[in-house]
Amino acid sequence: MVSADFRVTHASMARKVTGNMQRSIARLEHLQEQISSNRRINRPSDSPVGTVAALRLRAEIGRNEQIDRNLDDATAWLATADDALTAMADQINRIRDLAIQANNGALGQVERDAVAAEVRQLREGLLNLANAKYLDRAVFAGTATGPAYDSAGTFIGQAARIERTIAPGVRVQVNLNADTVFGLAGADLFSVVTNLATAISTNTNIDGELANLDTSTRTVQQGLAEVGARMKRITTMQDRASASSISLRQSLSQVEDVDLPKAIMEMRIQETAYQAALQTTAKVIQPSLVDFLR
Amino acid sequence: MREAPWCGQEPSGGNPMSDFAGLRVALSALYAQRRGLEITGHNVANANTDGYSRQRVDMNAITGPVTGAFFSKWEGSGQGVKIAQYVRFRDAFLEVRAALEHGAEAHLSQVRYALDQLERLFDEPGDLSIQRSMTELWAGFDDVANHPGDDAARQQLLERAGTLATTVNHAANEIVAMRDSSVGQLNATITEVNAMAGTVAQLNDAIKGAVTSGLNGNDLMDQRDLLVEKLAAKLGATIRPGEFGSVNVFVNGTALVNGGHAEALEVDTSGASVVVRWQKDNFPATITAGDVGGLLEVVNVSYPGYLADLDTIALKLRDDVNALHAGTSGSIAATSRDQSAAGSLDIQVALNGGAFTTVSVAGADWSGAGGPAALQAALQAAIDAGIGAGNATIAVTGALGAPLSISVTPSAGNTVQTQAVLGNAGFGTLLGRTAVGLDGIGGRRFFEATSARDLAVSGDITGASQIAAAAAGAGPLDASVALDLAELASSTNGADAMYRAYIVALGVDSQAVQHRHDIQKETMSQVDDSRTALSGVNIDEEMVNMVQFQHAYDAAARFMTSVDEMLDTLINRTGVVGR
Repeated sequence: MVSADFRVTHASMARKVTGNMQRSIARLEHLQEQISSNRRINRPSDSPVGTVAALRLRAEIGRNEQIDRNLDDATAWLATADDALTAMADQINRIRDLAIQANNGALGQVERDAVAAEVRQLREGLLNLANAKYLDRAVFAGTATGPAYDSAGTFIGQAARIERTIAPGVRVQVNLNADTVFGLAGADLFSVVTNLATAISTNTNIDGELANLDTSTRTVQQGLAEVGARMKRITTMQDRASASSISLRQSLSQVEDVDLPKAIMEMRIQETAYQAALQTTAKVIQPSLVDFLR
Repeated sequence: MREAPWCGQEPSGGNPMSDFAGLRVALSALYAQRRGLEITGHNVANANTDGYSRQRVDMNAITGPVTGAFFSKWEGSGQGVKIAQYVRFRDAFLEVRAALEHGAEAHLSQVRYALDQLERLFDEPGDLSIQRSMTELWAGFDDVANHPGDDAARQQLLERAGTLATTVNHAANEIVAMRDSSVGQLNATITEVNAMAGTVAQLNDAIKGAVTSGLNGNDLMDQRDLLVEKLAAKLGATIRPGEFGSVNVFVNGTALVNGGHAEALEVDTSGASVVVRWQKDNFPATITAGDVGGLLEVVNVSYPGYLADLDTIALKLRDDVNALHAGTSGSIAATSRDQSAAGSLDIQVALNGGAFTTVSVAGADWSGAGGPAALQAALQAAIDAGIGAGNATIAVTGALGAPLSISVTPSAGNTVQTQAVLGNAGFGTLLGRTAVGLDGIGGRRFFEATSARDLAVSGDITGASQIAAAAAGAGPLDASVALDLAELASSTNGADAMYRAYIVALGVDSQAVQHRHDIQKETMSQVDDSRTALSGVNIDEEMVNMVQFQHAYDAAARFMTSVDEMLDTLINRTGVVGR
């Protein structure tokens, strides 16, 4: 039917008007939902493509938060090891000083015994440091539940890699195994120090023991260097994680959140359009020929 | 109003008209114009009646006889006016088209509603959704990996797994409930359809009676057409005009209403799919449009489809997690293939959640070429001894000098659990890296599920310490298994990724239906506009008609007066010359 001779009836006019108003108010409602929820995507069908991005970003943000926690934990582990190893290096130096002091031959048996006793005391201190704990877990004990060394200086831990996930698919070892840092059983730092104390008190040549002590010092320092290197790596990862956390949130906001000024502007326009529709409708729909016939 | 065919000829001989004929002409005009005025009133009265079609009187001029007769011919004028018929403005083709469009709209509207419900159910992207629960589960595994000995981290993981399972259960149960409610709606709609079909048949009968006896059946037709329109929207039925003003309604080629006879439909929910059948012969009525078509699609396709996909996701989650956590497969490193010094390697096996039986395999050197076959035979014999032959199959593969891969596959319908014997490294040795809990026992499933509706933390785990975070033999505080489990978060084909694809598919589906529905609504309203343009009452038009009929009535009355005066002259004033 051609529009030129399309009969217009009051019923069709009323239906069209209500239809248009319905659409207008539905648009208003949609904008209001966006503004009040502050989200552009309230349902997947609002934007399937945006939903893919939003879901993926949300999952990544969740993973990122967990990785942040992993990194904090890894830092704490390594810091505990670092503190312990630094203190141990100091104490080993002190032991070395004492040994050289006792080696000059001018000391009597009493003094040598005293030095040997101090060295043994320092060894106790070293053992305590080797059992350093983070959150009640000995950091050099591997995957064992108890301490790394018993009071006799025997390794009772379980050497293993303890790892933290610091990025999806990337793991870093946060522990140092006691045998690498303190030496293998029999040739370890604690037996070296015990032998040294014995040599001091019995006034035998301590050169061999001193050489062994130097080897132990080197391994401890290597351990320290390794801890430092890992710390640096983790700090870098932390920076990257917080940067990516910000950028992920920004991306999510761009995908999900409503552009407020734009949405408010659109809503004003819709409101004006709706009011104009109401006003013109009120004017058009009222009069009919009835009003003008006598 | 038609022009009176007054030919202006005076009777000149022959048979002049009766002197009173003018009165009859005036009377016919009065009748006809009053009818016209009444119909106008009827139209105005029904301006807002749903389904009303405006009516008009068709008037015909009464002409004189046109056939000549012997010795006479009609020389009079027309005899006035008569009502030929009451015309009802309605286009049968538009009605058929409207029925189609209404049916299509109702169908899409039902599907749109269902998909909208599903979208609201999943509430994605959101903070209380399944995706969020999954992310928290993976994070929970990482927390356990960070603190494998910490009961709080383990407890938190169990809670999160429980929350995820409940969220998935809830979603699945809701989908089932939505389907049930749609089936209920389908039943109600079919009952309504049957009642309406019956009424349409009765009205058809009444209309036939009216039409054959020459009465005005217009208003009955309006009532009937309104019902037929509703039927079309409910069923997507096709309309065909029948004889004597009746209308026949067909559903996919079969008559639902044929003249005065109506068939009935019924809903058959006995099968997996809901089917609407004819009551008369139990044949399925293929209905693809209208509310019923939409409900059938929703009940048989949309809800079951989304439920099945959710089941797949739940089972994928179960399998991914259990594969790492229950670890009934593993490998022996190439360097550890010689176990001849190990003595007896004990393992415990249980069938279908039953009690564990300890069986043992004698340690041997499996590093040679025949190693895999020898280990496979030994393990198979041991497991058969524990749980009976035929319940599980052991497969050991590995090239010379390479690691040995071992898998324990339960036969169909069975579950087989394996675990370490405390204090004996046999299990870990035999299956390589196998996940164990703090108690050193492995083989516990983390999730159990047969569908999304019953996904739950497995009954194998009765305490947080039983979560397997460590590899067997790697020390009690080992967390390599927990790390691997946490890594599932980034899996590109895991449950997370599947769920995301699922939600996006739902969004795309829903958006497509929304667009189609909006377009269909537009089409429908165009057809409805065309219909009201033809059938609707325009008050202005009726006012004009009213004035027209009123004037004609006035003029007819004046004509009668004038005839009366003429007769008065003839009767009372003629022949009185000279009185």
